[in-house]
Amino acid sequence: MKGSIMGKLDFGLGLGSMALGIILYFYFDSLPSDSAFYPKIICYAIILLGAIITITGRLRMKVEKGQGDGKTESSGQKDPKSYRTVLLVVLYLFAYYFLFQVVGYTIPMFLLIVGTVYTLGYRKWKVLLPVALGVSAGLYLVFTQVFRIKFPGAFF
Amino acid sequence: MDNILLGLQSVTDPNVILFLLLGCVVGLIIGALPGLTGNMAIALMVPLTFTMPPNVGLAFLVAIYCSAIYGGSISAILLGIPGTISSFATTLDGYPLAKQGKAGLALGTSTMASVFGGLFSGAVLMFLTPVLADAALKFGPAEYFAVALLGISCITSISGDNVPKGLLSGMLGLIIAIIGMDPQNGVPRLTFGDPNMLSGISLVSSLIGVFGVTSVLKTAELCKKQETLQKVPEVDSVWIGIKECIHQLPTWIRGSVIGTIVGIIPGAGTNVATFMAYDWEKKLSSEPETFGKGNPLGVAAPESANNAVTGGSLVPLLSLGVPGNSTSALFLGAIMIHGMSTGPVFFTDHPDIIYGLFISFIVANIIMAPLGIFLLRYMKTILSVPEKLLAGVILAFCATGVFSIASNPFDVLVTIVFGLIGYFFNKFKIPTAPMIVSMVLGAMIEGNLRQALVASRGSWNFLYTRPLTLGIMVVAVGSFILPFIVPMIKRTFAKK
Amino acid sequence: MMRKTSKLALAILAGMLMFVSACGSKPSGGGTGKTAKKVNFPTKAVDLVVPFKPGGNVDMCSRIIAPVMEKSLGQPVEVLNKPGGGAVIGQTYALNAKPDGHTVLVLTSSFATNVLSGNTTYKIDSVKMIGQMCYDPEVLVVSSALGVKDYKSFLDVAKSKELLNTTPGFSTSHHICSLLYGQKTGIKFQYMHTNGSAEQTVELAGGHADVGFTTYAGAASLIQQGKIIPIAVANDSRLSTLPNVPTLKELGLDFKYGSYRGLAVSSKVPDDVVEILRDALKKAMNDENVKKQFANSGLPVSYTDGPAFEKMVREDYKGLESVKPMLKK
Repeated sequence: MKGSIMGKLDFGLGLGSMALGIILYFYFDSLPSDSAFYPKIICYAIILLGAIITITGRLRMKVEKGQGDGKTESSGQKDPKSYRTVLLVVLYLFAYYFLFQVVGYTIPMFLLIVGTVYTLGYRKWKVLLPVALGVSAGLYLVFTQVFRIKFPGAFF
Repeated sequence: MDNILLGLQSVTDPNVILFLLLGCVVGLIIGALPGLTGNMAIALMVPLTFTMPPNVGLAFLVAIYCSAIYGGSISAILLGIPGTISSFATTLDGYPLAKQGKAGLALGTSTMASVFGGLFSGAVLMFLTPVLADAALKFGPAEYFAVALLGISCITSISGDNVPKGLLSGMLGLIIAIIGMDPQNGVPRLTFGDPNMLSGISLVSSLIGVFGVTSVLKTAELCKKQETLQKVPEVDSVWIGIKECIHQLPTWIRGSVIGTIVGIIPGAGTNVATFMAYDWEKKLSSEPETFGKGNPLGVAAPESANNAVTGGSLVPLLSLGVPGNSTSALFLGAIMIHGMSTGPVFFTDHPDIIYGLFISFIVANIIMAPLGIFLLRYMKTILSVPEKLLAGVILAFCATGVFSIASNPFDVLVTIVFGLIGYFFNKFKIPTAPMIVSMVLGAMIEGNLRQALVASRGSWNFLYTRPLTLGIMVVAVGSFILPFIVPMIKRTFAKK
Repeated sequence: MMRKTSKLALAILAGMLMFVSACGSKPSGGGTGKTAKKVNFPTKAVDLVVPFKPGGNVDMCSRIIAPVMEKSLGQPVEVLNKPGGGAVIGQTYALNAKPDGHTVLVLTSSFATNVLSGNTTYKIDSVKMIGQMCYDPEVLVVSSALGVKDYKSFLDVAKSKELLNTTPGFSTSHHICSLLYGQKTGIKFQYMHTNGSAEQTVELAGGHADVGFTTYAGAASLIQQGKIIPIAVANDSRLSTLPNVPTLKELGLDFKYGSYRGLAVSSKVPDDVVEILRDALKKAMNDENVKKQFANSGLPVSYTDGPAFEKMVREDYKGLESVKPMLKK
């Protein structure tokens, strides 16, 4: 049951790698020959490995179909909520990346910590807020005063 | 012997002892913070040493150097985030151990192994430096190419169950290593016209992305499902006991020898040594399947190796006047500013300084152990911080540390993107370790291969006409295919 | 809940804003009388932007002069490393910063080569020079394994076969020097580009490469050990560190080249500010301790003032035009 997902994933992964290998091959082919020589060897390897992974993935899919197990997915069930959490954390990170260059370090960092921890489901505000404030302000002080790092942005 | 006494004398200076202690604390803390490397700490401290007496300044720097490498193992074990590339191999077994509630064993192992590695290479440094100098010069591009292949040959054995996927991961790492300006002719490759990409993808940033950010994303995915899984692991004692020490001693020796030898080769660097030490330990082990799942020897080997490199990397600097890695280049500056020159004349002109440096090196390694064990008592309480709260704090440390590497916001972006890459690799069950190894060694492989081809006027005959190259190549190929052959042999024997 | 946090954050933000504006107004309120004849500079810390990693020669120079310039400027002078992109990132950063003189670029030979490559947002005249800190003449060295002791026998060998020339990297000053030298003499080399001068000198000392241009400091120890042999200096006069090595000029070739390090600011910085910086650098370079530390580090002090340095860099740039096709693909 878990295998059939893996089989499909592998099949897709193999095809994807082969495609990537081919695209990269043509990209490197457009460069001067001495720059292209070594990357092209790696492209061959990627295409070859992609093919192997595709074939083994395909075989696994067949074997599992042949066994015909009708078990439904239980452990591999995709919970859209869990992916939403991941997506949110990634969004926060990108938001931090853009904000800290404009606003400055401490405030976006404070928001990043609070946002992430809150989204992950931690709700003890009495712990969370002091920790977030302490970490963002503390890191700011240590990095600017001790390590002499200059952060971009308008404020600290 | 007189010289050693001279060295001892310089270390009895209370200032030297004070700065050795201070250096150890600074190094330990900086090494433990993800993204901050000992190299950075030393670069910051070098100007401070301009005004110190040379023996004090060098003692300070050497203490930071040794303890920062050891400190890197702390975050590798407790958080699963290698702060520097040299503690990457430690993560492979150290973090699983911590999750099993054996953080104390892992940290204790890394402490003892680091100290042993440091002392071993310190002794080599003190007695064999002049002898080893010429060995460092034997290495040309062809040999470097072979060494790099030897380093990368471990990707088959750290690939896990699915070797094609591991190799795919390795090849993608090699492609990532190509990004940037072609060092041989200045052609930009895969840079998409962005000047930030010209010097390639920062290794530390991507490493912290793949380990730090990815682990937070995994926590994010699981947080809605397994509310019950949060069990604070029992933390055992950091002192591992004499019995365990004796059990690990052969591993320490092997790791130290590999670390010292590889450290001496200028430019080969710390990273190759840790990969090799880990890989060989796994291959020699009677139970290789336990590696990667929490085998203390998988911590002991790379940790003894990376601390042994510290001594090795100073050999070419002191004997030839050529820095072996970026950290020893900083030492060069700190030595020259006082009007001393490195190389053989250093030994004849300033025996007190150089032997003081050797003794300081050894004392720093001795101070490191009790200091580490003392600090670790408090540091391991990190494990009792709720996972969700810790995740936010980890992101904060990663994002800050990564920015500070080069004060370049682009590195923060690299970390985020590599966090995503690590997450997708995880979804497709592709191991990330081979990618990291390849990214570290990719430039070394290509650069030296192409230089070697220039030197041999385009012919591949350097692979077999140079005995040293040939020897290393044979070992590399053997190490690469061994994981394929061993199961085959075992199968044929089992049939009989 | 999220709304609550954002409100909280806004409140904090507002509070901090007030704090900042309160702090900010104090020093500027006291000093910036616009009627004052002299410009008020510097009003805050001055950054020396080093476009390389900490620890190299360029970084070293900057860290030696920073505390001394600090004394005459009366504000902190801090070294800021912005490595990457073959120094393009740091150079772009420094020249795109607010042109008020508080961001100073540590300018090296790579500035001219980067401009030459045509991929930069700045041009050769985007900078005003503060002055040159040091000038390192290139030294032609060979591996002792080549069996050549003087320039004449070197020419014989070099003309009979293509020698292996090792550089610390593509388009570094050592590489450019080799290209220009090759162009002038008609000698052809095969190039091996390493990662930095440490690797370059080890290749020479180990006999893995035959020849290279380098500067004295990086190769000093290996020269003393006889593993690398200096055969000529690309300079008008002999070096005090290598008194027995003839110059190329003495040998009948009018060729000089060297790598330089100096300070520069964006050309948009007002002239009176530039003057203040020029004064500060001049004072720093005349400081005995600075001279000693430069000399110890193997960095030949050769201070020239802003206009002279500017002229030199422009001339260097013109000279490079001829090797442009070899650098650009």
